[in-house]
Amino acid sequence: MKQEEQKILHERAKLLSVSASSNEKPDDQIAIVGFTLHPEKYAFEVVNVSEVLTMNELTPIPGTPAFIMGVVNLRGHIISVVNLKSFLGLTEGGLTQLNKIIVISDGKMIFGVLADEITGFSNFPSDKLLEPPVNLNGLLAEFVKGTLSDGTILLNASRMLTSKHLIIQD
Amino acid sequence: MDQSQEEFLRELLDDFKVEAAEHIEEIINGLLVLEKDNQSDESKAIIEKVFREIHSLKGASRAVNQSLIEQLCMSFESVFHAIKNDKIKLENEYFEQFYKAGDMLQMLVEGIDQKNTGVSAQQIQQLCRTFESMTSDSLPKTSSLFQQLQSKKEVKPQVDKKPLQESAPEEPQVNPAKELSTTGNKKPLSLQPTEPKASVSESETVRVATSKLYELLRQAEEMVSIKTALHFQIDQLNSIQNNFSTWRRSLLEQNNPNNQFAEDLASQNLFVRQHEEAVSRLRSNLEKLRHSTIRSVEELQLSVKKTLMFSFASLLNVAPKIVRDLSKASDKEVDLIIHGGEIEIDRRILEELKDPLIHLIRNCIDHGFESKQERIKAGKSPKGTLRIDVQYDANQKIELRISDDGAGIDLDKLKASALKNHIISQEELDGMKDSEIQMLIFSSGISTSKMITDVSGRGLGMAIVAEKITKIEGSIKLESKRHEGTTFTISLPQTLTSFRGILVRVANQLFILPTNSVVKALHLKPEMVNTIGSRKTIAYFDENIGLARLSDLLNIPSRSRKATAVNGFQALVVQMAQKKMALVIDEVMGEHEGVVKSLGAQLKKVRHIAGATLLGDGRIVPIVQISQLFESSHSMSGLRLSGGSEQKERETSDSGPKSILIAEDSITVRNMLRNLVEAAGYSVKTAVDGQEAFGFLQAEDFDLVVSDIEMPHMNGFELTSSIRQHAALMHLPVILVTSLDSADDRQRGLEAGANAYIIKSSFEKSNLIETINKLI
Repeated sequence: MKQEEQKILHERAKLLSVSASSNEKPDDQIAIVGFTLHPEKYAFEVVNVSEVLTMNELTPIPGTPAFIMGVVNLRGHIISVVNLKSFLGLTEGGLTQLNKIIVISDGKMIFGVLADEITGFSNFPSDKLLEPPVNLNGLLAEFVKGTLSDGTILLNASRMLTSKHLIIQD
Repeated sequence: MDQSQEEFLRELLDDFKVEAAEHIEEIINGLLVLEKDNQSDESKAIIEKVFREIHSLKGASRAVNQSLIEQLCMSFESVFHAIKNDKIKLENEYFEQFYKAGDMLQMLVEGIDQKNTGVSAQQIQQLCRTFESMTSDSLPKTSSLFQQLQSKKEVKPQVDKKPLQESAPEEPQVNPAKELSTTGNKKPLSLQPTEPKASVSESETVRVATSKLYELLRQAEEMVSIKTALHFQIDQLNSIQNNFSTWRRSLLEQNNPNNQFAEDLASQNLFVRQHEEAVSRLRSNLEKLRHSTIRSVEELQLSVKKTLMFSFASLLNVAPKIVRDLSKASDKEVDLIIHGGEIEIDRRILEELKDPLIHLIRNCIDHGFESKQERIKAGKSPKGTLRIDVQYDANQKIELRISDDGAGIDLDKLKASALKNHIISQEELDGMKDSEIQMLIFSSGISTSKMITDVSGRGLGMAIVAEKITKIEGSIKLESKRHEGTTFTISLPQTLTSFRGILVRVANQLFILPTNSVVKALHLKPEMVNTIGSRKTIAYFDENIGLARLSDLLNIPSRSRKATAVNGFQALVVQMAQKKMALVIDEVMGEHEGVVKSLGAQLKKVRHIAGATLLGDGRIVPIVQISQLFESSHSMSGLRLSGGSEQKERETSDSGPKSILIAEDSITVRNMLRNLVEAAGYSVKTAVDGQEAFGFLQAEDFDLVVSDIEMPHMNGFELTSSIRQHAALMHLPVILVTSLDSADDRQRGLEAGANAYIIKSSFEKSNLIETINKLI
């Protein structure tokens, strides 16, 4: 009996959920967290961002590549922090703050990415995503998903989280 | 039967009971589902599952000599085997018998340690016969039970309980069985709640996933930080209190009778004193809280750790088989004596110990024991004795001792290997005592084995053993007397405690060194530093030990170099596996207790850094890995040497891939080998036998030969000998690959001049590639 009832309820739920999503069409929207790496604007998709924090204390770890800035204490857990500017080989644009940390995660891998400033959350239609410019350097090209009309570069966080270049095994 | 063995058997039975209860539960759950529906596709999977569960239960019961359970499972299983293969149809009438079997199994399992299980052998045999008739029914259609069932089918619509009465006609006299059949009849409702309850109270254990226990332990250990945090807060209050009293003293000094603000000052003084007292009270309350917290946190940790304790027996159980197999393979006779298996230790330590133990045993049998002939010649019994003893030592640590009465370590061979592999220089070797030289076997790249086999000789094992043991906060010592034997003594903590370390400052950064590896703190003057060879050393008691800057080893820029050199400097003497060195640091900040944390998912392995710990104020301090510091200090001392080898590497990599000749008569194996070796980046040429291979060798240049032993025209031994006798090929490395694992063949291979001997079954484990890499 119960099984049957559940089956029915499940089917109803299914029907309902289909109609709801077809109304709002969230599939066609991309939710992003924007940030700046002075002077350029970047963004991650919200799905990969677990939180954003202000960096207080950073402990450098010797023997790691230059793009690993160090580690921070995230409520008792230690996470490493990456400087995308030096990882992606972006030209250092003068004095930057780099005191915000965007924590990205896919459940298995987690690390923080330094940012100068968080510009905020926003949605935009996925068909507005433009092809990345062709003149990007190697590593950047690998991790760019596309650009927005205002010049924001959408980075591919899930690829970063699984990239061998970013995991330190030595 | 001695006591420990008896205890072991009891443990085994306890385990079996838990396992069996799970199987029976699954069987009954499966039956319940099948009874409702045995036609759909899903039911096929359930039949399969029930069959597997019965089968597993049969296997388990055989292992613990429970023949009645085994017997019942066997015929139960055959019925499900027939159903699974569509030999017989699953009739609803069968279920009563199935439930009866399930109940009987349960009673048998529960009654294992009682004399009377409530189930007689006759009942079981009767049920078995019923099961047999079910399966035999499918073939001769005239069987009586088949007819019985047929008739049952007809009456079923009218009398629902009939099958039960009919199929168990003799039961009524026997009470337990009657009860069983009734519970069987009430099935879904009564069975499930009563069953697990009964088995739980019986064994009074609960099965909990170890991951949950570890999580609990992690949380308990996390509470160490509360201890440290409280300590930190108390210190802060202390300094506030001090500030108050200084302030008050300064107020009092201003307080002379002429002062027109005397009244004002007096009231201020009172105000300050009140607050000072309040702070003081707060501090002493907090101090009390800290003491009680420390006590409860420690008790909590201890209890959680105790739940993770296991007896050594579970680890040492693997030893007899390994000893038997390995001694057989190397044609030696070895007696194994194990003592102390009942001693309990943290499960995680046992897990980490498994590889080192296996390796040490292999080492003993492969290198430790002489051949029978050699033993007889040396006046020893041809049978070697390998002892494994577990005991508590004086410091409440656990000592695992593995000793053999074999040949002992050949120091000359060891020295030669160390020199050849550039692990140490002649001048360093000259200054070392024998006991220090013996410790060299823990360096990576050392091997005294003349030949590489699949078990030993690659010179990595002992380094890994030492590393693993250090990881679990243990230490390893070695005593060896030539011709008398070797003893490895591994000292282990009973539980993996929270981490204790010495906090040091180096170039304005904090680091922490494990307390158990720090021997002494020294204040050094520049004139105390000597130079031996290219290394800086200091005299420490009666030895000369190496001296290095921690900042240099960690490769962090240090600005304070010049200042310290004049005024003297601080150093910590650290020790690992009887090796010592002194590390120059800027300042010792104190001792700290905390939990070891990983550096996060991204930093999986960082050179010199084992992890990190948190200070009371939340700051992160990296933990220095002492073992790697020793390695780096060696490579730093020979800076020029390592530069040279890098250059060499570049030169060879420029000259293109190395070429390897494979001689093998079987086309399958030949292609397999070719793929394997090519995949590792070598260029490969193949020959169908020794003769062809030898022809190729004279015509072209190769870097290494991999050869089968049994081949037509010219076999592997002959090919190896021919290569060794040929002036131009004399030094060409040869690996013999064979399906034969015999000590004789190995000996023949060695005599013919082969460099390595690998058994075919172990190809996949990339044994071969490792060996090739090592040889060229």
